[in-house]
Amino acid sequence: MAEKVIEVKNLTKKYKELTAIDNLSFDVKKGEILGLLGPNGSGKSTTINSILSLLNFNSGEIKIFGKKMTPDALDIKRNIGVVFQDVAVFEELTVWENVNYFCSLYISDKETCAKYTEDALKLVGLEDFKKFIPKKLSGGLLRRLNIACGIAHKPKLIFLDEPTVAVDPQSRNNILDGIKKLRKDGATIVYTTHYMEEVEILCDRIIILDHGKIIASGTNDSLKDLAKIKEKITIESKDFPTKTKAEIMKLKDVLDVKCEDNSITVLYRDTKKNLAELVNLLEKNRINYSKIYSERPTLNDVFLELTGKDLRD
Amino acid sequence: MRRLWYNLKITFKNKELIFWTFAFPIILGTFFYMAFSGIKTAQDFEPIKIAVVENEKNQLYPVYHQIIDGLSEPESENRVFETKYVKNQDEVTAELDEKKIEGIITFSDNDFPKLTIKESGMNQTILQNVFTEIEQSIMLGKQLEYSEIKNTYAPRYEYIMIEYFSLMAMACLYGAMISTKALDKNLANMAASGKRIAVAAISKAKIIVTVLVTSYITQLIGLALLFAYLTVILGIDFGGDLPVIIGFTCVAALLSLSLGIFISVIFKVSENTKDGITSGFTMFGAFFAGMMGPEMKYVIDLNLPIINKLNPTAIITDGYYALVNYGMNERFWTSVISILIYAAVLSSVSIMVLRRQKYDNL
Repeated sequence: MAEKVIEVKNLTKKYKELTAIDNLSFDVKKGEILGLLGPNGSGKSTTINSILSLLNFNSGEIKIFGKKMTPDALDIKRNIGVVFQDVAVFEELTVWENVNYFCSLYISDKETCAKYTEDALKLVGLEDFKKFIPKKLSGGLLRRLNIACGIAHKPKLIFLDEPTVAVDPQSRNNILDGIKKLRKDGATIVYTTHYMEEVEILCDRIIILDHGKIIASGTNDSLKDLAKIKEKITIESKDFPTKTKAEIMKLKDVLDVKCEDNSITVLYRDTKKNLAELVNLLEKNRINYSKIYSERPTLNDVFLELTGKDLRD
Repeated sequence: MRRLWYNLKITFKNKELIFWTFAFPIILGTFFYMAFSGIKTAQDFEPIKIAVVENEKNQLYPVYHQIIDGLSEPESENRVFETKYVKNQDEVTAELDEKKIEGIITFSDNDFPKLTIKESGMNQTILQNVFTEIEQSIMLGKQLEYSEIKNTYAPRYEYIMIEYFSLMAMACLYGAMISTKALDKNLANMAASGKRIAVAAISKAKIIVTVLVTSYITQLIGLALLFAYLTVILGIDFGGDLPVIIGFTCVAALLSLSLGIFISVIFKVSENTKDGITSGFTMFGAFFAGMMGPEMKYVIDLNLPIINKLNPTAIITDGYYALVNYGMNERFWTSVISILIYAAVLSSVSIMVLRRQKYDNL
């Protein structure tokens, strides 16, 4: 059984009347990437800040590396890296100096610190921007710098709190590649986001939060198995007769048919031969369509089914 | 050392901060120099021209009359007034309008003598202060020494120096902005960088010590520049014992260091509001300490002495004044001890709050 790196038991955090975290319990195992997925305000950042002893909490117990986490637990903190949602760098220092400064809070040897600084910049692809000051960087590059500052000291446990918010696709891919590399190097990662695509790509295990409660947890596949919808087939067509929609509804395992401007989406409760049957029906009715494609349900569908609202609401 | 170096770089690259703590006192010093460059010594003081209306009512206030006469004695080194005696106020009203005289003193039987002035300026302020002093001494039955009046109110060199002393004091206390900003960057509830530092494997004490050392070095550099500018470039003679003046400045900077930490820790407001608190507190303090007119310090010392006993700018100003004029006497040591007590109290409160500080929200 894998070693538990983080143990959270019955964590509750209230802001006056509002319960931000409601009796939360979960573990993070060594070497895994745990995704905390939830809409804005679901309690993801509050959970991380509480685990890190940055915030007071009302009740609960938090252990990291088997020891109780406290604000003064420097031996635990030495092995933790945190990338906060807000970019936390000094505007007055260059890219290299920023990474080196934050690394120096963990690594006292000057040469090791300089080497780790170089490694971190390479990991996030900022080698060519060492002498830039932060305000000269684009939003995406700034996010990469933010990550480099958080992980330069080569921590065993890394918290990444929405590291890809408002970044361009190129930077996002770079960041996700960097995270995969960190995991490959043995780091345990807690990753919060409201982008379901990212947790699907990265995470071994996912916890879906809403109103500070765990509403579902498991692997990507096991979570999707929770959904009633097993397959979604989308047909892009400009002219779709109502009669045909009714016929589709009568097909085996069809749960629902959703119409939009130039497309309809057929939701199935099973995945057997649905596409072939649907194509046959469209040909039989001589329906012209530009594209037809099948998808598995997303985590958003799971969230939608569990809470009745969209992840990005 | 690396962190200290980075902290110094962060501080020195903050242009706004450097302007207010380094450049602003130098600019103010330049203005003072331009305004007071003519007044160098006691001998340069020109008696203030006044008129006294003589009538039968004068006899009601013989002591008053006697003091004015004494302060108007042409050959006396304590001369403050050049007094002209007239029978009727109308004779000199035109002269007051034309600024040939600065004020008219009239006597009546139902009130104390009345001073009439037209303009506002240094001479008029001195005139008013001397007038008030005479009035109070008569009421208290106190014997007035002419030399004391002259030394206290005439704008001699030492008197003007209060402006520069209070400028140094203001510059010391403006340095509080440096420690406020430096600490704010390290507090999780004030800056994103503070959150990162709060989760780092470094003790709060080490971080605070780095902030204190950085801020203190920066303050001393700023004060050294100001002092060098005033003495070397403008040629202001601070007199006294230079090493002791420098030592006193280093002690005064401790007060601003602790004030900055106190403001950073106690006030849960934005960075700009904290700057406002520091500059407001310092500027009001400097005003009461005599930076915008030395007479203010005397008025406060005379009427509400508790204000300047609690006012850090006035305490520092008084320390410089005592040191330059009287050396390391009791008055100087009182200032030094007051500064150290002030710094100790502010630091203790800040440390207590910092040690207990946990966040309910970020």
